[in-house]
Amino acid sequence: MAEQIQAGKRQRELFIKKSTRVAESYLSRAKALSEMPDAAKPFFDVLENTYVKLMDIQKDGNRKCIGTLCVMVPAELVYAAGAMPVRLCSGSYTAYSIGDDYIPRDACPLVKAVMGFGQIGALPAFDHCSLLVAPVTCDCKKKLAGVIDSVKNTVPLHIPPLKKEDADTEVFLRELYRLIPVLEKETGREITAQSLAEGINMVGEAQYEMSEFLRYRRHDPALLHGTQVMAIMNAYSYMPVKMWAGQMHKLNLEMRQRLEQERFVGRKNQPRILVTGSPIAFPNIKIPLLIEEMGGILAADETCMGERGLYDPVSVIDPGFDGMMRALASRYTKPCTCPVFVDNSQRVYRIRQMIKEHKIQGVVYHVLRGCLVYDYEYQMMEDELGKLDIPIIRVESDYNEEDVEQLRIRIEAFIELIKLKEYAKQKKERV
Amino acid sequence: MKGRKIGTAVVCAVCAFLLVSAFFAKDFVLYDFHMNVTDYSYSPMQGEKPQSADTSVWFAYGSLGRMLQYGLDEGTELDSLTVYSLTQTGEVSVAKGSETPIRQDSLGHFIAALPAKNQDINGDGTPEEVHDYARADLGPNAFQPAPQRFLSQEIPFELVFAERKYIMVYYENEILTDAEILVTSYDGERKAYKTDEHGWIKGLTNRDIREGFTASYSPDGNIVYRMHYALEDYPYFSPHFFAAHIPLLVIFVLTVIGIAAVYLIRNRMHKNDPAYAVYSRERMGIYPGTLQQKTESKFLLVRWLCLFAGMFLWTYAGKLIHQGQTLNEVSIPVFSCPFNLDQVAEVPCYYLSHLPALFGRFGTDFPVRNMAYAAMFIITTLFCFIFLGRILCGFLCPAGLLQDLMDKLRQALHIRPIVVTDRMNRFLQPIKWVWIVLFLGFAFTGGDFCDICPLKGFTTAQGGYWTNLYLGGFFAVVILVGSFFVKRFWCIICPMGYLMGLFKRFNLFKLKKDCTSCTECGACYHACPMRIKSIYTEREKENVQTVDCMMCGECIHKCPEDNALSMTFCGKAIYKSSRKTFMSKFSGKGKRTDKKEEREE
Repeated sequence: MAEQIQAGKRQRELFIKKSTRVAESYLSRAKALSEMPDAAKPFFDVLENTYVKLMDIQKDGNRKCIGTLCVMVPAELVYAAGAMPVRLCSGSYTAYSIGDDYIPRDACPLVKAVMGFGQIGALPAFDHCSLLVAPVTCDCKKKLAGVIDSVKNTVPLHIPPLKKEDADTEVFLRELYRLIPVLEKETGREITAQSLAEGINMVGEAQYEMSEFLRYRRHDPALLHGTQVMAIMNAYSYMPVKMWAGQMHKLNLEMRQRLEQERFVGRKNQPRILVTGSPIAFPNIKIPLLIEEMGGILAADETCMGERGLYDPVSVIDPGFDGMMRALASRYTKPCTCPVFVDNSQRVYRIRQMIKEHKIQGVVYHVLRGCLVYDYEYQMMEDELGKLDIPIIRVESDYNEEDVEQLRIRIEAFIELIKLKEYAKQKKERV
Repeated sequence: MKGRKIGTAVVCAVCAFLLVSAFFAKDFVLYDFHMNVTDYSYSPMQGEKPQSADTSVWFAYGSLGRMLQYGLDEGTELDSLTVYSLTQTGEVSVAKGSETPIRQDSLGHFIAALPAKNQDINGDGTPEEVHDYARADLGPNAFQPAPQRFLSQEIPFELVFAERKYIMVYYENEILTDAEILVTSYDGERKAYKTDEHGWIKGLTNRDIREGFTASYSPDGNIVYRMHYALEDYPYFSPHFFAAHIPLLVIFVLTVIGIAAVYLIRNRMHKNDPAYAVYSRERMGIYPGTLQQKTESKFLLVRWLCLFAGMFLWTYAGKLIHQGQTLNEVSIPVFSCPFNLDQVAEVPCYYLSHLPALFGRFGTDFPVRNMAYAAMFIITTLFCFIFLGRILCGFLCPAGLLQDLMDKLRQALHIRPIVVTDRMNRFLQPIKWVWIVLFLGFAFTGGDFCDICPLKGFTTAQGGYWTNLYLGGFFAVVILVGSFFVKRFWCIICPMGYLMGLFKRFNLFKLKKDCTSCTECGACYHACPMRIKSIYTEREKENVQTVDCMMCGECIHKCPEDNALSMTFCGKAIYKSSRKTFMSKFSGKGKRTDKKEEREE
């Protein structure tokens, strides 16, 4: 018995040592990219506090933390209940290796990492969540919701696999209504129309700053590195939304300053790349890092840990309680481009829109090993982007550093390809 | 599946009920201004002789309303006066005397006649044989489209009010065509008019008809017939005017009861529902201004102003601005009731629902309509249908304003709406078709669409016109309750709106969508009062305007994407969606509360 405890303790120590080291190295690599904005530092600090210093989440007042998994959990509702949502989708390599023992081999690493944290109990951000709201999205998340219930009190949130019919939105609306008493019981505070309106405003402010920020991000040449943006977006998961919005406001001011001073981090003809596909959760930011270290610019991302979570605003049509709930239900399903929906052709349109807005020259399609839903859509994406004459590359990776060199070569070649293509185009124009 | 079957059955039942009940519309009386009210009396007049009266006898309406007074020149014997009244059994001579109650079966048409006398009225030295008459039409029956004629042997010369706005002249029981009629208008001015081939005196203003005028006709120079005519006027803020609002009040009281019933039934239904059970508790009330969802939209402000202006134009403008000089021939399609004579222009809903009246005959002996009028009517109607289309629904229709106000009232009371899902919308379509069939075809079966029209009562009553409400009055309650819970409920099933939408292709105003900018968030669909789904599912076509779209601009207002939706006029964008405008509502105000909280901490 004592031996077992001893072994568990050692494993825990080893785990902490390893995981903090990985997180630290990725953080420093992201920071090392040229000209990090000063206003981006607080976001990195939050990630450092969470993953390296293993500190508790900086809470907004005495709000309880409620863990969430996918983008479909309305943060507004959680804030309305007087709690704070923490997105627990993690990219920790060490947690992944622990979760591997509990989750089938072919499941995706993100789910394993979440399970790993649940088992080892070393991440305060995870442990202090009193409740986990787990949307039933892909198969892995679905089963995770069932399995992780043994270590963490979990509420599954049913997501309709279809969304075009009103009946489907209605299903999700009922689901959100069912979530209300659960959240209320957890926090002991009632969700009123007033508090829900305040929740919508709070998240809305973050979305406003985000929309302002996106206008700077679109700029060509780039004003900051996309990897840092990924880190900023990941920091949203561990920050109170008001704080995040406040910092984002400062970042926007700095971006405006940079624009006026014409201080760009990218050169004029640097290949602008969009990352889409499986979630890129901190610390697993190797793909964005590789793209930017190899001379590309990560100009946009279409991933759920990135822009997708905050892009679409809540549009309340009827300013009553039901009206707000309906607006939430529709905002969290209709524009969502998560491939768990049966018909997800709108993702193609979304990417087309981003290509146009962000002047994208190439797309990196990230597939986590075992992430079937995203892999399904690769073919469709390749066909559609072929029509637009935008090169696309599919990179499959796992939560370890063994495939880094291989990825590096592929991404480098891809960037060279874009450069050559651009060169040929310019030559043709000159002739 | 079970729900679908029930839904289909309900829709079939509603359609069948609509079709069948339309034929018994007159049997469902919501409010009837019967002429057998005993407080209507007629008495000798005390006041001055009106300027318009050239005759020795005239009718006037008491200042308090409901009082028919007759006046006689000095020296004229009261005994020589005969008063005829048109009743349900025909023309009768009625007793005259002070405060005599009107006969129970009177239809409200009166002619007073004096025996012929010799008088030199044209100043040529030789006296003419002068016949003096006075006519009064009062009560709701005066506005019957068919002419109400006495055609009596005793009264060879007769002025008849027909088609809600024209004066027809009869001489010896025949229509008097191409004859010169001397008219003394309300201010005493004399002017000669000619009757046209249908016996109409063209060019008379509404004011003449209401405040009184005298028409005199001399068939051969020796005999002169004169008739003073006055239609019962409805001055604003008179008891009469308020009385006209009674049906409206009845409708509103029933509406309140209906709303309360729907509200309670819904709460009861949701009480045992695991998801909606939260409603059994009080969860209402947002302090005003908490939810930052309002963005300033000049377009929507203009729309509201236009709606109010439309209400004014089709309800009061005739009396207040242009003194009854309506643009009689110009027709602008909105759903306002033409029984209100003060509307600024003709509304085609009356003639579209009474197509035989436009081209054919009314009853057996009503003349074929003036073709020039019909041509002008058709041209202007088609012009509006083709080039303007349903933007009139969104911007001018008084019925639209009424529904928008009901919706605002609901928002103010924090009562949640009934959301029309796409399935419910599909079920509503057959009802719309039934309305269209009734609208265009009911007149051919001898029915009167106005009896079942749910909007007959509104502008008419607001303008102070007495109108009887039959089945349409009950439908009005349904429509009001419906529009309280469902924004623009009537517009979804409005037959005229549908006809207007048919020409969407040629409209000058168009709704466009930039499909690459759309993220399919569905905000436009939820904002759309007409529940047009294709607006957010469309991914290829640029033109997303459908038959139902009425250009209200709500979708553009709620669209968070740059230029995804825009409204164009002749190809030029006049209003487009903007992400910056949409998101800006979350910015400023939030900051201020933040700072406040920081200070408090």
